[in-house]
Amino acid sequence: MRSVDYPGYARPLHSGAWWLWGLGLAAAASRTTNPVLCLLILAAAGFVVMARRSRAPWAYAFGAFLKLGLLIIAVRIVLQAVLSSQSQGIHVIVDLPEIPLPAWAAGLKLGGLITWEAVLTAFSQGLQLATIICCVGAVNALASAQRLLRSVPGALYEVGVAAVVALTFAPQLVSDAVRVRSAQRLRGYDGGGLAGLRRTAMPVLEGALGRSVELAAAMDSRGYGRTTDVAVGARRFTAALVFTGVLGVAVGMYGLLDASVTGWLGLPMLGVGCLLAAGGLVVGGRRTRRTRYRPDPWALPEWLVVTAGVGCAVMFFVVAARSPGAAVPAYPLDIPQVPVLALVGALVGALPAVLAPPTPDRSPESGAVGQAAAGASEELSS
Amino acid sequence: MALSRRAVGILLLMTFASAGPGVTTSAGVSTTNPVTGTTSASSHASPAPPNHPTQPTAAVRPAALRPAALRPAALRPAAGPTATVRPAGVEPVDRDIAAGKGFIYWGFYKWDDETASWAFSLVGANHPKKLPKDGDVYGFRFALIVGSDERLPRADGDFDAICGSEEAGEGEKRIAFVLDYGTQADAPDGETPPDPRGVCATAEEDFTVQQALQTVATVRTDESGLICGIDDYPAQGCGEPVTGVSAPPADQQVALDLPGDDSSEEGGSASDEDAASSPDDSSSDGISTGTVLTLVLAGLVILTLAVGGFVLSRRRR
Repeated sequence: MRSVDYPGYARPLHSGAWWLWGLGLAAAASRTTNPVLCLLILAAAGFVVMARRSRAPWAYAFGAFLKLGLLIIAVRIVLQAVLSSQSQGIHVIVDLPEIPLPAWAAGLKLGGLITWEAVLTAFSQGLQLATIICCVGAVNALASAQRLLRSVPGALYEVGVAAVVALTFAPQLVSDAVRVRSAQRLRGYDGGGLAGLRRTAMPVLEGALGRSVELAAAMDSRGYGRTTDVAVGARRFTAALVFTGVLGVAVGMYGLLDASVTGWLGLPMLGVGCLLAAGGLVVGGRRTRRTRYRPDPWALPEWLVVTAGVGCAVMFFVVAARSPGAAVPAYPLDIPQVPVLALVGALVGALPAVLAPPTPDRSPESGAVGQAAAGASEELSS
Repeated sequence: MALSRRAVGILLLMTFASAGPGVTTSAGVSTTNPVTGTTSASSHASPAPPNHPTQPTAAVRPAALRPAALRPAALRPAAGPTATVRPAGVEPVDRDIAAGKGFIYWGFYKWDDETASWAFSLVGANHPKKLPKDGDVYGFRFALIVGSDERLPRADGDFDAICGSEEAGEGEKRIAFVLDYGTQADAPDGETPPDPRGVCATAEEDFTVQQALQTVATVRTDESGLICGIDDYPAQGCGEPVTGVSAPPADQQVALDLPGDDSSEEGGSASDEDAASSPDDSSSDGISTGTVLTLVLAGLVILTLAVGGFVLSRRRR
C-alpha cells in the first residue's frame, strides 16, 4: 500500500474523481423532483465542499452557485405560478387582477388565480434544477480545473486546454468580484443596485479576460500546443477513425432513443462508435509527446470518492424505478415520501467528506511537508 | 500573442456555450421521464403520430398536418395548458393499424346540447380563456386509440341527471363531468378500470375545466400539463404509445354511477378545501407512521449536514 492510498494523507484529490462524484450526484438529482430528496442531495454536496475545500480562490464558488440556485427557483416560481395557468390547482393563495393579453398569447395569462399547487410545482422543479447546478458548483469549488488538464488524453489535448480554461472562468469570476467589491469598499464606495453592478461587472470581466490571456501566453511559452511531426497518412487515418467513431456514437444514441428504428442501430452501433473513437484517440495521442510533471495519483481515495458518487446515483435510479410516486410526486400538495434507499443514497453521497484526503493547506506545516513527501514518494514509485 | 488571443476568444465562447446547453440538458433529463419511467423517451422520438401530445410540432402547425377527412385534432394553445390532444394520424394511420400501434390516453370531450352528442374539445381543459359556464357538461374518456377510431364517453352528458340536485352559491358555477375510465380492453396491464361515473363540481367562477375537475377528483398531470390520470387511474404512465394491439371492440352505452344513486358516496357538494383528497385516493390520506418517520429522519439528516457544513466553514476561517 502506497502512502497515497491512505485517506488521512493530506493531498489534493484527483480532479477527475471529484468530477465523477459531482456528476453522480447531479444524475441522482435529475431523477427526482421530490423537494426533500433534492434538499438531501444539496446538503450532501454542500457538506463535502465545506469539509474538503482548499484555500484556493475557486473554493468559494459554492456560495455563488447556491445564490444562483435561489435565483433559479424564484424565476421559476414567478414564471410558472404567475404567468402560466398550466399547473394551477384549486387551493387559491391570491386572486390577482388579470391583465388581458392579445389573442396571439392565447395560452398565457398575467395574474388571475394563483394557487398553491402551481407555486409548489414550480418550487420543486426549480429546486431540482438548482440542485443539479449546485452539484456542478460543488465540483467547481473542490477540483482544480488546471489539474484536470493533465488527465486529458493526448489527442484531445487542444480541446482539453480550451475546456479547462473555460471551466476556470466561472470560479475566478467570483473571486474577482469579491476582490473588486472589497477594493471598492476600501475606497469608501458601497454602492448596490444597478449602477453598483455596472461598476463591479466591468473590472471583473476585464480581469477575467486579462487572466485568460495571461494564462494562454504562459502556456504558449511553456511549449503547450507543440506537436511532433506525423505522416500525413497517419494523421488522416486518425481523423477518419475519430470521425466515424463520433458518427457511430451519434447514430447509436439515436437508435437507442427512437424505438421505431431497428435494433442493430442502437447499442451495437453505440459500442462500435465508442471503440472507434477510443482507438482514434489512442492513435492520435501519439502525435503529442508530453511527459507529465508530478502526475496526480489515482489511488484508493479516488476510487472511494467515485464509488460514493456512482453509488448515490445508482440508488436514486433504483428509487425512481421502484417508487416513481416518491421520486416524482404526482400531487404537489401531498407530503413528500422519502424512501429509505434515497436517504442512504444521499448519505453515501456525503461520504467523501471523510473518504477524500484532507487538503494540504489546511494545516500549513504538515501540509508542506506532506506535499514534499508526496512528490518524493511519487518519484520513487514511478 | 495573436494566436493566444484568438484561443481566449474561443475559450470564452465555449464557457457560455457550455453553460447554456448544460443547463437545458439537465432540465431535459428531468423532464424526459416524469412519471412513466419507461417509454416516454421513445414517445418523444417516435415519428408516427404527428399530433402526439408530447410532440412540440403539434403546437406549431397542427392544421397543416391534418387531413380534411379527420376530425380536427385538439390544438395545443401556445405555451399550452392542454388536457389531451388527440393523436390523429395522417397517412401513417393505416400503417399504424397494420403494425398494431396505438395510444392510451384520456380524451377530453364537451357535450353539445344542440346535437346531443359528444364533441372532441378543441382547447385544453386548463385553458385560461375558455372557462366553462354553469350548466356545461364535460366528458373524459380513457381509451386505447388505434389509428383514427373514435372513443367517446359511453354515456350521454345529461346535466340534469348529474347536477340536478346541486345549487351553485354566489360566485360559483356547476359543471357536470362524465368520467369514463374505459373498458378492460383500454386498461394498461395490471389495472382494472373503475365504473364510469358522473359527478357534479361546484367550482369558483374563475376555475378552468381542469380546476373544476380537481374539486371532485384527483388529477395527475405531467410537466407539460397533459392530463395523465384521473382518480389515480391509471396509476402510472402518460399518453403512452403501445404496440401489438388491435382496435378494441365497439363501445356499448353504459349507465353512469351518479352521486345520488349511492348513499355511501359523500353528500355530493364538494367544498374546495377537502375535495381534492376526499374522493377515494390513498395518496394524501394514507400517511403512515413510516412515511412520517423517514421524513423526520430526512429532515434531521439535512439539518445535520447543513449545520455541520456551516460549523466546518466557520472553523476554517
